Amino acid sequence: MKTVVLYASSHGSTRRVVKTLAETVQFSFDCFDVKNLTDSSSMGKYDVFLFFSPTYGNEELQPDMEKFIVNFRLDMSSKYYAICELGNYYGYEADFGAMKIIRHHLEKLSGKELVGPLSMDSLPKKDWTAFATWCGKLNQTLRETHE
Amino acid sequence: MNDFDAIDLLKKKVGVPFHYRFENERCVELDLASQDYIFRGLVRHHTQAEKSEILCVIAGLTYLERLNLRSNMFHSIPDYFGNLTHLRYLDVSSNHLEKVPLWIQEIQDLEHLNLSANEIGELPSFLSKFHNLKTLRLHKNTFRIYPDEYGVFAQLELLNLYSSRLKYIPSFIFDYSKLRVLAWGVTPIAELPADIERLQELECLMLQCNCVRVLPESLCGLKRLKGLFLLQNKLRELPEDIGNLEHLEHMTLYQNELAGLPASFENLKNLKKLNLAWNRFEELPPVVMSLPKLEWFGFFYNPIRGDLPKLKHIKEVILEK
Ligand SMILES: Cc1cc2nc3c(=O)[nH]c(=O)nc-3n(C[C@H](O)[C@H](O)[C@H](O)COP(=O)(O)O)c2cc1C
Repeated sequence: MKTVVLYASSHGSTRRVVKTLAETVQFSFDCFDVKNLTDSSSMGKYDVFLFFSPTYGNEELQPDMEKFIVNFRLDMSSKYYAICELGNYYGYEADFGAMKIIRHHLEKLSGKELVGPLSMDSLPKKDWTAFATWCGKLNQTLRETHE
Repeated sequence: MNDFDAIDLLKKKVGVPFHYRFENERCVELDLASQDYIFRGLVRHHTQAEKSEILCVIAGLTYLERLNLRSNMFHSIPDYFGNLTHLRYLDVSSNHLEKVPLWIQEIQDLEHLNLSANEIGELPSFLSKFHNLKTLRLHKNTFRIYPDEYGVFAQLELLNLYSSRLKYIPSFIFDYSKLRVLAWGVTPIAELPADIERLQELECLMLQCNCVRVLPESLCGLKRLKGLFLLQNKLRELPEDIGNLEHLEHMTLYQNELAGLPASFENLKNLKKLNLAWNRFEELPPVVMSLPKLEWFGFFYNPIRGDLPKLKHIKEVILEK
């Protein structure tokens, strides 16, 4: 399963999380900051899409991710995705934000969710524990789909 | 152009259904944002030229009393909006505005103003003409000063200053005697002034993500409080008489440095939701077993030693994430 990480970051937190991903998971992946992608035409070769985005504004997508998602029109019917959003949360349930917007879009493109999303608390402290658990789920699910 | 024609034209230009309301021949309400649309702002992804045309039509609806332009990335809203003098409710949040639009001062009697999630670096003194302001949402902007002139907002019931660049809570905010909701967050304040007790109507206090170490005992005099959100601070203890807040239903202390709760906590008989996660508790505070209405309890990320007692009386318990 060829995997790609697509992320956006205004102040570096998400970039750091993506770096940690590389050190934590047992599969290889290509990785792009979506602000450097002009369109999604080169994305057809991937089977698994891992999205990483913070929430900004009034529960909105980070601007680079918004531009990318609005124009992302790949047929996802044979593809998988998983989403990690970063934000400032109240301690358990996450508000409306990046994850729900990206998920809405990927569902419309008929993508299948590989593992449930992670709302990673990142302000002021980063919830690395929850992130490690989520990476574990990714590892396991990708291993199983290979077998 | 009459208001009916203007709305017909807007329907064409917006391209999706939106809320509006007429009274007699006049359009008095218009919403260009919807909770049902994933991006909220209905013209968010229109071109700037299309947005300009839309704004031009709206400016002709001079009897509007309610206008919601939230989340549309307008960047600026032109001065000819000064014709909308009857507005009582105005939401221009999340539009990348760098300034509070000057035309707002032409409005006669604004009651609800939402300028949140913009890039406003300075608050103008002219807003102080709105003596009847009931709700003021200024959160997520970059201003550093909350003008003294705003002391006149005696009717204010809701004030949101979450994530501004303010370094302290201006003392005259404690004169807003009708305030029911106060939100303040992402600032370096380490202390909550004892004057908080003067806000006797307060039902909801949000102090998220500051550096608060100590809470004044006077906080316990806020008899109407139902929601107390103290998450992401540096609290090591709570005021002894916290149990006096007998109407409290929801309390979150998530991400603090607490290791225990005061004995009076057992008097919080109306507490339904309590979040003590990511603190320093080494054991379950026994009082949690005797809160009769508790239905949600968060306790993950605490350095617990040994086993926790069963918490079957609580509907939802989160011990792990
Ligand atoms: C102006 C601003 C608005 C934000 N709005 C939200 C929000 O609506 N919801 C949320 O959960 N987090 C919000 N956040 C928190 C960010 O998502 C969080 O700080 C994140 O880690 C930023 O990621 P980045 O450093 O990769 O840009 C906001 C942060 C800022 C600075």
